[in-house]
Amino acid sequence: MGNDNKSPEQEAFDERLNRAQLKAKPVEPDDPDTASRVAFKMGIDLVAGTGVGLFMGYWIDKWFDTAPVFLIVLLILGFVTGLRNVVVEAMRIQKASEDADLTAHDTAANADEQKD
Amino acid sequence: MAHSPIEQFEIKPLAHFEIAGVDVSFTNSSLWMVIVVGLLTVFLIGGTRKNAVIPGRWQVMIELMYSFIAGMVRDNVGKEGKQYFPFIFTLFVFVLGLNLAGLLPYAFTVTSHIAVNFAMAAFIFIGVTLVGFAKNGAGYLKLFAPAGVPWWLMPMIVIIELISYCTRPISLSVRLFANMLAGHIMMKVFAGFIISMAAAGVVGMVGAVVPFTVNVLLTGLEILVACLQAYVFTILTCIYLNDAMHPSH
Repeated sequence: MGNDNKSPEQEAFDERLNRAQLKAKPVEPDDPDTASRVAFKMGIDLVAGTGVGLFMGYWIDKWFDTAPVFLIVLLILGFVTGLRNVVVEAMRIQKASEDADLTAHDTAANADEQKD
Repeated sequence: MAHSPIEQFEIKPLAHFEIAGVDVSFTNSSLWMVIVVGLLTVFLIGGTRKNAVIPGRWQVMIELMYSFIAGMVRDNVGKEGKQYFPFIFTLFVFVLGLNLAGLLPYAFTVTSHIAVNFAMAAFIFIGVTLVGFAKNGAGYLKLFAPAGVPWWLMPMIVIIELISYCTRPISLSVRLFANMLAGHIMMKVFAGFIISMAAAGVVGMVGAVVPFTVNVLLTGLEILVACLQAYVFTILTCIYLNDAMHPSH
């Protein structure tokens, strides 16, 4: 009950607190999606797929004595996997940046409303 | 040049041990792991020894790290992820400690060796796979067969998903290793420029200010990279753990 009628000091304090919290918010932990980091990750992903395919193919051929059938097939599939991983990652970043744009838009709209 | 920029990554055995013909010597790499674990233990136990309600500066540092990782686990794995918090937190402070300790002069950067990172990543990979099967049973295999794929494409998709799953430890370990290796080589190369330019007379000495400035900036960048790569390593572990616990997503 007593919560509704706050003293002017309390209101002033709440307002200052809100403002400080708003100000502190954009200091999120460093965005891991900068261009160079994305390029670096995608480079590794692309090569890693091919590498794993090569590795799997080599050992399957060794065990079943089928060289070079699985080596060739899995090498190609490994490359496809690398491409798929890069595409999936690109779609994730695309979505993340669209979401961020939407949220930024919302926040801006809210700020405008509060001003009025 | 007298010093090669990759000399700093050389493993030097400090005490020779051999078990069943396998070289398990205590090396400079092992030494720095022990140092980092020791420092972290002192830092974490020392800071929480008082357990004050109103924390001092030391305790605040630890509480910030704690809530940072707790939030990361909550956001990426969910409430059930809490039971893995001790592992994730240990992983984060260990990698962060190794990365930062590597920046000290005369220190050895343990995480610049793919063998160390791959061992960690392989353990995470195996652990996460076991968690996946323990939580979901054979249902975990659905991760390799996404819904809505035509039946004639299925065999190929399963193989592709399987390869993709196996690239995780590689992607995880190579990223940390390559970042640390590249950063430290770059710093050493620019440090080498300072020496060789300064040796070339007065003009060279004035000119050596340029690589020196670059190196100061690089040091700042490397601190950022050290923290960021520890963060990336940990958050990816969380994401993999999440896949293991909720494979349908």
